[in-house]
Amino acid sequence: MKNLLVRYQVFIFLVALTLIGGLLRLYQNDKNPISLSIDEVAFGYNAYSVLKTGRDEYGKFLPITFKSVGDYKNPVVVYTMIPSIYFLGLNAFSIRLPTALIATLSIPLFYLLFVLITRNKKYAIGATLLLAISPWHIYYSRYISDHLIALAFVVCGMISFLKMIEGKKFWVIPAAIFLVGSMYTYHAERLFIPIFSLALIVLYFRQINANRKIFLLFVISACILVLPLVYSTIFGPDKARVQMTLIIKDIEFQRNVAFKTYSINNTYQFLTSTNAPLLFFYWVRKYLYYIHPGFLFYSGLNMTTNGILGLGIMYIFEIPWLILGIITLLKKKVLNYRLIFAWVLIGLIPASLTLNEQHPSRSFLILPMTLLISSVGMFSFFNLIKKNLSKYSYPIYFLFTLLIIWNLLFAFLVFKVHFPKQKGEDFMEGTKETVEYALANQDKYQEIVFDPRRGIYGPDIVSIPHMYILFYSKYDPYKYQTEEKIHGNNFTSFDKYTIREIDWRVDRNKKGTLFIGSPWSLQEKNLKEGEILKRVYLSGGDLAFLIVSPKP
Amino acid sequence: MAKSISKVEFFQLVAILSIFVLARVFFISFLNVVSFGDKSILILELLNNPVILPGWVFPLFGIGNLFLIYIIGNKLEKNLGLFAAILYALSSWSIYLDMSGSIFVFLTFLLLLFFFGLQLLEKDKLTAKVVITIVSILLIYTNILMVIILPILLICKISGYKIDNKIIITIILSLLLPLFLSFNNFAGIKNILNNNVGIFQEVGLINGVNTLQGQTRESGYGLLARLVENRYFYLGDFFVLTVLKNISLGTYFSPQEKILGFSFSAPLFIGFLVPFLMGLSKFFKNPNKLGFFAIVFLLLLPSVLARRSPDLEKLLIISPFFFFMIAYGLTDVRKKMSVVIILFLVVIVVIQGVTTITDIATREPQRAHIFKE
Repeated sequence: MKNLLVRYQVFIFLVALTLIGGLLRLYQNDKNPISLSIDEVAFGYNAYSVLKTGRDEYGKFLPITFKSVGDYKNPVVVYTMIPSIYFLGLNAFSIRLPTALIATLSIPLFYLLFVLITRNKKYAIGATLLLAISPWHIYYSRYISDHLIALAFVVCGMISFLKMIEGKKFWVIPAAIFLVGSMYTYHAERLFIPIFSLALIVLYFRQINANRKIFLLFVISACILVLPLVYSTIFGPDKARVQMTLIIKDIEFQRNVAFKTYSINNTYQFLTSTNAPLLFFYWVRKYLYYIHPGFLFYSGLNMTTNGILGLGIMYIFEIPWLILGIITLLKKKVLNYRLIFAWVLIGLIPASLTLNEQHPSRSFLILPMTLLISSVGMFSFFNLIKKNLSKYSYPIYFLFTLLIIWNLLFAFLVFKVHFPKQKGEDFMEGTKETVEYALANQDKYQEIVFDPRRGIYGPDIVSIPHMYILFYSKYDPYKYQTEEKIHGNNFTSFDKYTIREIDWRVDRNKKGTLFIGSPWSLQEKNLKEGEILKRVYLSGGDLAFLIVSPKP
Repeated sequence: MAKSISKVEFFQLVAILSIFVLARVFFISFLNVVSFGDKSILILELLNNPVILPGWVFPLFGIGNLFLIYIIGNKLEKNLGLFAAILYALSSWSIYLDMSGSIFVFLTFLLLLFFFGLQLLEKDKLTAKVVITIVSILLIYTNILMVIILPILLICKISGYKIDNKIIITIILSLLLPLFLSFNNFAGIKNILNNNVGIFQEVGLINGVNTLQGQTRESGYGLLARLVENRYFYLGDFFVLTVLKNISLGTYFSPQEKILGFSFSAPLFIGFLVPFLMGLSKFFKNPNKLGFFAIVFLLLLPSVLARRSPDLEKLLIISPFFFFMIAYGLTDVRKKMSVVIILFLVVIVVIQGVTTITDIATREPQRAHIFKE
C-alpha cells in the first residue's frame, strides 16, 4: 500500500510538472516570440507545400533535405508540422505547436531517462522539476526548434538503448529509429550520435557483450537507416550546410590567424605553412567557453541586447548545485556517472566545431545531463546544510529561497518584457504587418517592391520577404512551384511582387508601385507629403519599415 | 635557518634556472615587447618619495619566484616544487610578464616570500617573524588591495599557520605613520583606488540596468522593476559573474587575446588541464584545503576588481596555485593514467609550445600591424 502510494505520488507530481511545463511552453506562444523568424516561415511554408502538393517550394517530391533559402534544412521538423497545419491552417500557432507539444511531452520522457540512468527517483524528480522550469528548454519550446525535437529523439533512443542492452529485443528497432532519426532532425546529432555510440560501447561493453546478437541487430538496423543521410552528407546538398558552418570560417579565427604570416627567417616557414595547430587550440577555446559562466548563467540564451545581463542556459541559483553535483559525481556516488560526463563532454563537440559565438541551440544536446547534475547537486546541497550547517539552516534556506524567487521573477521579466522589446528584429518583427498591408492593398498597385535589407543601426540584416508573402497569403504551392519566377542580378520577382533593393532616386518616379523598406532605403527627408502610407514600429519603439507609394 | 641544500637539490635548482634563463633569452629574440621600464611601488608615490624599481630587476624577481616555488613546493610534497618550478620557468604567462617588467611579478615574489615565512614559522621563529613583517609591509605599499587581503590572511589565520600576535601588532604599528601621511594626499589615494577598483565603472552596466527598469515600468510592472531589477542586485549579479569568470577554466587554459603580445597563447597549456584537474581532486583530500582555497579566492581580488576582468597580469599572483596543482597532478600521473594518454598529453604540450613560439614570431607582428591600422 505504501509503495503504491509512493508510486502514485510520483505520478501526480509528474502530471503536475507536465501541466505546468506545458503551460509555460504553450501559453501565447504565437505572440511570444514576437514574430515568426526567417526559419519558421520557411519551415512552415515548405510543410504547407508538402501538405498540398507532396513537394517542397522547388517542386522536389518528399525531400530528405529541404533546400529552402539555400541553407538545406532538415526534414523531420517540416513533416511533424503537417498534421497541425492540416487541422489548424497555416499560422503561427499551428507551426509552433508541434515543437511545444514535443517539449511538453519531453518532461515525463526525460524523467524515464533520468530514472534509468541513476536508478534514483529522487534525482530524477529533481531533474524533471528543473526541466519543467528550465529557461533553456522553455525558450526553444516556444518556437520551431529542430534541435529540441532532435533531443527528444535522442532521449527516446537512449531509453530504448538502455532497455535493449538489458537483453530486451523489443527495443532494438525503437533504439535504431530514434537515434538515427535524431540525426535526420538536427546537424549536431550527426556527429554526436556516432561518437556517443562508441562511448556507449566502451561504457556498457559487458552488457553489450552478453547480448551480442541483439546489439548486432541494432547496428545493422541503424546502418540501414542512416545510409540515405550518409549519401546526402557526402554527395548531396547537406555537404554545403556542413561547409557553411565549420569553425574554420569563424570570423575571429580568420581575423587573427588566417593571413599571410610574417616570416622572420625561413626556419619557421615550414611550421607556419599550416594553420591546423592554431585551429586546434582555437577549437579548445571554443570548447571551454561552452562551460563559461557568462554563457551558463548570464547571457547564454541571448534574449537581451548585447552587454545587458539576461538569462543563461541555467538559473543563477543553480551555480552551487552544479558545482556540488560535479563533485558528487566525481566521488562516484551516482550510478552511471561516467555516462553523464561522457554525454556532456561529447555533446559539446559538435557545437564547438562550428563558427560564431557559443550557440545555445547547437549545444542543446547537453541539456538533460546539466539538469541531472544540477539535481544531484541540489540534494548534495541540502545534505551539506543538514550535516554541517544545521545551526544556520533556516537563514540559509530563507536566503536561498529568496534568491530562487528573485531569479524566477527576473526570468519572467526577461521572457515577458525584455525579450520582445530587445530581440524583435531577430525575429523579423514588423514584416508580418508590411505583408498584411501589401496583401490587403495589392489590387491598387501594379507592382509591390520589398527591400530585403533592414536593421536598427544599419541595413545589415537581409530578410526573405518573399517567404513571408507566401506564408501569410497562403500562396498556392502548386502555382508557386510552377509559375515563372524571374531571378536577376540581386532581385527576385513572382506574381506582382519584387524583392530587391530600393533606390529612391530612381524608384520615386514609378507610379502605381508600392514600396516597402526600412528607413535606410526610404529616408523620410526624401519623401513628399502623403507618400508615406504606413509606419511600422518594433516593440522596442524603433521604426522598422515605411510603406510608401510615389505621388505624381 | 633552514638546513643547507643537498647536492641533488643544488643540481635541480641549477637545471631549472638554466631552463628559466634559456626560455626567456629565447623569447627575447622574437619579441619586441621587452620593455625594461622603471616601475614605482604604488603607495610610496603618495609620500612624494617614490621608490623606483628599475625594469631589469623584474626578471630577477622572476628567478626569486622560481626558487621560492621550488622551496615551498618541495616542503609540501616530494618533487612538487621541482615540477611546479619547471612549469613556471616554461610558462608563457610568466615569461611574458617577467620580461615586460610587470609589477605583479614583484607582488608574486612578495607573496611567495610571505608563505615561505609562514613555512619557516615551524622551524626558525625569529627569521620567520622578520620575513613576515618586512614582506607584509612591502606588500601593502606595493598594492593598495593588500590593505584588505593581508589583514584577512593574518587575522583570520586562513593559511592554517599560527601567527604570533606580536607580528600582527608590529605590522600594524609600522603601517600607521606612513598610512596616516598618505591619507593627507586624498586625491592620490582616490586615483590609486580608481586604477585598482574599476569593476563598476563601466558605463554600460548602469545603462543596462536602467534599460531593464525602464522597459519593465513601461510594461506596467513598476513594482517588479524596483524589486527585481534593483541596481544593487544587478551590480551584485555582475560581481558574481566577474568572480566566476576569474575561476573559469577557459580563462587559463585557452588562448587569450588579452595576454599582451601572446594573442594565441594560452596562459597554461591545454595539455596540463588533465593533471590540473587530477591535482585539484587530489587536493580535496587535504585537511587544509578550505584555507588554501580561501587564500586563492582572496588573491583573485585584484583581477576581480579590475576594470577589464579577468586581468591575466593581475592573476599572475595566483599562478603558483596553478603550477602547484598541475605539479600535484603530475606526481600522480604515472599511477592513474595509461602511457598512451600521457604520451598524448605530452605531444599536445609540445605542439602547443611550438605553435606559441612560431605564432609569436611570425603572426604577432602582422596582427600588431593590422589592428594598429
